[in-house]
Amino acid sequence: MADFAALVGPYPFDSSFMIRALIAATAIGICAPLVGTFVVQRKLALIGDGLGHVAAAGVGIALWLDRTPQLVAVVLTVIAACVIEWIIKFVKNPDSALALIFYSGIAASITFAGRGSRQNELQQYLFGSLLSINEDDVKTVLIVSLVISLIIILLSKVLLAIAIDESSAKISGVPTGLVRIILMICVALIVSVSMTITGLLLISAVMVIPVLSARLITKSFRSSWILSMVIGVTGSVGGLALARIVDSAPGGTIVLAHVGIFILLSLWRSVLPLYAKRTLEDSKRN
Amino acid sequence: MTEHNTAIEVSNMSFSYGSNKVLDNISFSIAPRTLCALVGPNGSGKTTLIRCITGLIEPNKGSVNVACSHNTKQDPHTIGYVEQRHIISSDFPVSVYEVVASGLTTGNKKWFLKHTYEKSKVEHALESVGLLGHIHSSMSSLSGGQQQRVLIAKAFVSDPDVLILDEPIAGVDTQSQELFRDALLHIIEEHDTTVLLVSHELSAVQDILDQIIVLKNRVLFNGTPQQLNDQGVSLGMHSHDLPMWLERIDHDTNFGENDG
Repeated sequence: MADFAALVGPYPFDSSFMIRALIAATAIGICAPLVGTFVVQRKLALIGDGLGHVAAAGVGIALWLDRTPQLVAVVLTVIAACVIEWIIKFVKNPDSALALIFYSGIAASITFAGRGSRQNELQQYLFGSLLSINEDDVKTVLIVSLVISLIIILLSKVLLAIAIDESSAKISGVPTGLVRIILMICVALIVSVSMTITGLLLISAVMVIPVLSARLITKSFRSSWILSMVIGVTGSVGGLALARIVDSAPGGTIVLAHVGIFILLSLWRSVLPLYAKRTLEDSKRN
Repeated sequence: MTEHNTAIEVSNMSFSYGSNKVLDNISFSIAPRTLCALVGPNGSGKTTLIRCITGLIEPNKGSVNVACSHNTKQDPHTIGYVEQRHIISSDFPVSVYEVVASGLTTGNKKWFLKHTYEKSKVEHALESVGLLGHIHSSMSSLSGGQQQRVLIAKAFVSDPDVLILDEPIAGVDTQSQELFRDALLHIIEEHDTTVLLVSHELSAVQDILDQIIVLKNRVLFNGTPQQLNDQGVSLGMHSHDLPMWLERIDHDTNFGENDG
C-alpha cells in the first residue's frame, strides 16, 4: 500500500492529512451511491440514517469498555441490519418497530459513552473528523469500499431485477431474501467505516442525495447509477476542498455540497425540460 | 420447450387466510398452447389462486403442477408472470431495454449473459408486443398500455412454458387492448406458450379464447366460450355481458356448476 504521507498536491490538497482525507472521501463518494441506488429504489432512503443511530450505540459501548469503536459498531450494525430486514418482511407496521430501534440506538450511545473516560470522542464519530484520520483508517475505508463495490457490481443484475419486480424475480428462482440481507449488510458496513468521514448522523446523506440528483436528469438505470457515483465523488471532494478553504467542518460541508448539486440540477431540469423534449422526440420518431 | 399433456394442473386446492377460506377444493387443468381466462367477482380468490400457481404462497391443501413439473424443483423459466397493478415508479429512471432484460435474470446464477444474446432476446420480445421502436425509451415516457406490454415482454423474454397475466388490461384504452390481443396471439401461436389471463374485460380477446374458468372461491364454470354462451352469457358488450353477469353471481352462488 502506498505511503500517503509522501503524497501532496496543489492547494487545498497540499498536506498529507488532506491527501488522506481526499482518498477516503473519494472512496466513500463512489461506494455510498453505488449501494444507495438500490436502497433508494427499495424506498429505504432513511435506513442508513437509522443504522447510523445503531452504530452510535456501538461507539458508545466501545468508549465505555475502552475498545475499538469501529469494530464494535460494525458488529452491532450488521446484526441490526439483519433484524431490520426481518422486521420489514414480517412486521405489519415496520415504521414503529424501526423507530424504536433507532431511538434506542442513539440513547444507548449517549448513556454508555457518558459512563467511560473517553466520552469526548463520541462527537467525532457522530459528526466526523475527516481531517484527523490516520493511514490505517484510510486503508480500512479503501478495502471495505472495494469489497462492497465488488459485491454490489456482481449482484447488480439481480438487485435491478428485484427493484423492477420482486415477485417475478422470486418466481424465477432468485434468492430475493438473501440478496436483500446482503444489501443491508453492505449498507451497515458503509455506515460503520464512514463514521470518521461524514459522521454517523450524516452518512445517509452521501448514500442518498447523489442518487436523487442523478435521477433528475437520467432516463435509464445504468446512466443513473454511473452518474450518481460521479456526483458522489464531485460532491465529496468539492465539499472537502471547500471545508479547507473556508475553514468549516468537512462532514457537514460535504453534505451541503451534495445538497447544492441537487438544487443546481433541479434548477437545470426546470429550465431545460429534458423529459418533455425526449417524449416529443420519441413521439416524432414513431 | 418440453412437450407436456397439460400446461397447468390444479388438484383439490384449498387456501385460507386465517379462518377466511379463500379457495375451496379447486381443480382444473389447462392444455398447452391455449389462452385461458380466469374470471370472477372481486374477492373471489383469483389473485390468491395465481399466487399459489406461481409458488409465491403455498396452498393449505392440494397440489399444483406447472408444465408437469410435479414433485420436482420448478424450472426458473417455466412461468412468466405479470402482477396485478404492477407499477414502475415514475421517478425510477429505467429504460424499456433494462426492464425487459431483467426478465432474463433467474436463480440459476447465469447473471452475466452475453450482450449479443441478451440484446437479441430483448429485441425479439419487444417486437412480439409491438414496441421495438421504444427499446431505448424510459419507462416513465410510455403510456399505461405500453408499460403493460413492456411488462408482458419482460415476462415472456425467457421463453416460459406458461405466461400468467393478472389484470393486464385494466384501465387500458381500446387501441392498446387491440395491440395487446395481437401480442397474445403472436406469443401463443409462434412460441407455443400457454397463457392464463385474469381479467374482467374479455371483449378484446373473446375471439382467441380457448377456455374460461369462473371462480368464486370455488370453480363455478370451466369450459369453452361457446359453452358459456350456451348458458346465456356472452363476452360481448351488451346487456348480458360478462362484467354484469359476474356482478350478479356475486350475490347468487347458485349458478349451475359445470366443471366440464
